[in-house]
Amino acid sequence: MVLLPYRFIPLLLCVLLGWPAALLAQPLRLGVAPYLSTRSLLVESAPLKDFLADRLRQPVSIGTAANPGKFVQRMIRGDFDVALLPPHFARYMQQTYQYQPVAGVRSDFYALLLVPKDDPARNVADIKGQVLNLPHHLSLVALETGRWLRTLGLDPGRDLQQHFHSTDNNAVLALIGQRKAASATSRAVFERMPAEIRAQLRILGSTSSALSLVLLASPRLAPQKLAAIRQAISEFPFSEAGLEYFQTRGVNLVPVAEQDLQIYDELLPLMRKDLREFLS
Amino acid sequence: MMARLGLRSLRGRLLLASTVVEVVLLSLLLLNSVRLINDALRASVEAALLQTVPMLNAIIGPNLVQGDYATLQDSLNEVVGSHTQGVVYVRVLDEQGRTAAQAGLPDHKQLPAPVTDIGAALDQPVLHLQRPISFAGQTLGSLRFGLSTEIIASARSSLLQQGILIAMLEVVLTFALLSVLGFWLTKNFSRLIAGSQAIAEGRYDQPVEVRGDDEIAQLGRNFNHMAEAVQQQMQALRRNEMHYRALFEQAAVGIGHISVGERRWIRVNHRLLEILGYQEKQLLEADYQAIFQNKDLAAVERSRIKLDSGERSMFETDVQLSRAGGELLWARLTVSLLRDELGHPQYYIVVVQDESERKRAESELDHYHVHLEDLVAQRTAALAAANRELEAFSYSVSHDLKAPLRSIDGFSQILAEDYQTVLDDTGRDYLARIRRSVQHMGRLTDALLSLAKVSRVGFNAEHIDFSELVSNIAEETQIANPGRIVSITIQPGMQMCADPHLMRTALQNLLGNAWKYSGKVQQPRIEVGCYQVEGNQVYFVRDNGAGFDSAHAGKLFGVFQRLHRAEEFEGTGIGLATVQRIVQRHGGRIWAEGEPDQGATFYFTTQPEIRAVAA
Repeated sequence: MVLLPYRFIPLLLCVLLGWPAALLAQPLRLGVAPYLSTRSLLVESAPLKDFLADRLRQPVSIGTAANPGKFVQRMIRGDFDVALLPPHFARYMQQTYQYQPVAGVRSDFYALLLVPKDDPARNVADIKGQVLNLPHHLSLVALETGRWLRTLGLDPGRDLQQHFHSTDNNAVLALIGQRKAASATSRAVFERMPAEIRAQLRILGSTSSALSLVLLASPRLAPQKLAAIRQAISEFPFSEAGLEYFQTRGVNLVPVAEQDLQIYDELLPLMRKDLREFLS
Repeated sequence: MMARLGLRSLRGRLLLASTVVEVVLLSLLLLNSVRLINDALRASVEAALLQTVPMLNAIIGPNLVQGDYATLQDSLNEVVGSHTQGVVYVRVLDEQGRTAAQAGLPDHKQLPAPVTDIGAALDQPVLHLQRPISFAGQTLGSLRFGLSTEIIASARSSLLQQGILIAMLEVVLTFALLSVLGFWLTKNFSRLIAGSQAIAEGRYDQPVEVRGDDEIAQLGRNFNHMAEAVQQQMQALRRNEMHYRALFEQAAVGIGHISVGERRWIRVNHRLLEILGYQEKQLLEADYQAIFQNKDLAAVERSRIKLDSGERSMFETDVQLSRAGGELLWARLTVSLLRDELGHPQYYIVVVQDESERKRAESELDHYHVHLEDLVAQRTAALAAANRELEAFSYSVSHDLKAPLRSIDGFSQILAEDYQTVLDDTGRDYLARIRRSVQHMGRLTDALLSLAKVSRVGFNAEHIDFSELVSNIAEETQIANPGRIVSITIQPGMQMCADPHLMRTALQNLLGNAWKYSGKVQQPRIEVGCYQVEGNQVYFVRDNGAGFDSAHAGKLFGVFQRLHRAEEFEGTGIGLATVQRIVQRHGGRIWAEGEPDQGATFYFTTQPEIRAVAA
């Protein structure tokens, strides 16, 4: 008869006593790209976190980073089991680090083009030659705004003076007290801005429907766990919390097809270049 | 020890008591202050925590979510290094309990258990606390941090030291102030004590010196009044003592006190020594029984035992005592037992009265008593004989006078009838006067004879119907005087035990008088009745006639005594004397009431024994 080492006795006792699996399991680490402030991200993601914890019977922790580069760095480091991030970053992580898309979030109109309230511009063409304040040049807002302006005949790099800011908020706040300038920001950011700020601005236009976020699963995730996550995510829109989540934000949960991400392949070299300092 | 510290005096005790009370109160105040300080400090710590914890959460939360542990470490170093809010160390634990960052602590240092009761842990130099890291509604881990209580301890120590210093200063000042105040308040006590000492030594003439008008001065005045009263009472006691000593020493009777235990003479007065013929020393040393005869001693002892038991309060007896020389003397012995206020016997009080003279006087009195009775019997017999002789003489005179009177009356009538023409008017007038005088003398003689008979005739009491007797006599009187109409009222049913012949004579006189003296009024009325007074039957005869002056009522019943002139109402002046004699023979008495022209009432009674015999 082989005697068990003493150090396994507590573990064995726990198993025999039927401790809940949730207590023994490591939390599912959910990463959320920093498209909002950290506090807003936590509040925004809380319904999804709670739903996943309930369905997976596993605690869920939320993590983010100070900026997209550091977020990618944490993903590479393996800090997250699943991560919610913009589609071009999702494409990058899928292509480079074998993260797998689970689902996507599509917004009806993602980015807004703002001008001061008393600005004489009445359509997008009126801002030609003016300053356009944008968040990070690899942010989805900057990418989608550029794509949309080009469809309207304006090349941001040529017809506008592009000023990039560290955050969406800074890009908007740069417009306060200015004339003959415009800013682009996400709808989510604009709606969370103080009312007195919003009262000084006017929406000149908005992008069309776009895939705004993609949920990726870590390649290190076990297949059973991935399947469970997929199942849970598919049920989330039909839950009470999910219905409220999607209705109040004007977004939908959608499956992500390969072609939905392929459109961002052209950005991959630029992104790889920009993210170089975080990849070391 | 107490005396050496001067604490036996009232002043010292007041001072000690006041100081102790103040120390106790200040201690309580100080303890309460410490409690309040601790409460305030705890509240201060809790308020600091309400600021510090959210601040730390705001610093730690985003970095922890972002996984930016370098920034988190920098922030923690800044918090600890700048001593913000007194935080001396911080350790951040993630949801799995792993240390995410820490500052102010050596690596892997085991932290003390976090405190749960801040108030109880304020004495520790560092408060070890644990709080959850909560950010945007999410619990991200836990926060362990140490909060320095150095400032708190310093503040509390300063407050405590200052409090103790102030309390000690207050005690010293109070002690000094109370010492002065106590001296000022109690200085009059010294004079009071001196006064009380003088009284205790019997010097009542040294009053307490009183100054001011405070309670102690009032007490001094009361003390002086009390001393005066005591002095007066002592003087009264001395006077009483002198008085009683004089009474004791100078009493006309012999007085001695005998002890209860040994039953020996304690003190004796001069008279007792005289009675017994002893010297004082001789008697005090002798057994008290030595003065008694054996025949009396047993009875005296029995009475004394009853005194001891409380069965009797005193006893009195006549005994023969032995004088010092051996001769005997009769004495009245009165013995009582004096007890104190609790009832314990103190001594016997023996009063000895020399009864020798009284005994001799009694003996003589007995002798005289026997002889006096004989003498009275002799005198009574002599008096009775004299009365009988007098009555016999009176009767004889009356009886013997009747024959010559009848002769004078007869011959004067013949002279008036046969020689009427011979005599002139003057002679006839003289003759008529002679005849009237003779007739009057005849009535007087009859009356005297009747009065004499009252005493001479035999007395035979029997039951008579008094109402009927009165009615018969009234009827006879009316018949004898048909010319007058008199209203006579007789109470029916009156009974009497009397000699019927004598009572008839008495009633004839009384009714005759009433009839006569009511002769001059318009509506004459006579009333005869009786009533009860203290068990005695009182009979009365009342008329509304001439009446009489009450001042002369004493003369009514005398022989030949008259209150009216013969011209107004004729009469002999013997009738009421006869009535009185009859009433007296019945053992009763008679009296009269009247007013001039208002009528008269005659009352009489009979002897109760006679009534009893009749019943």
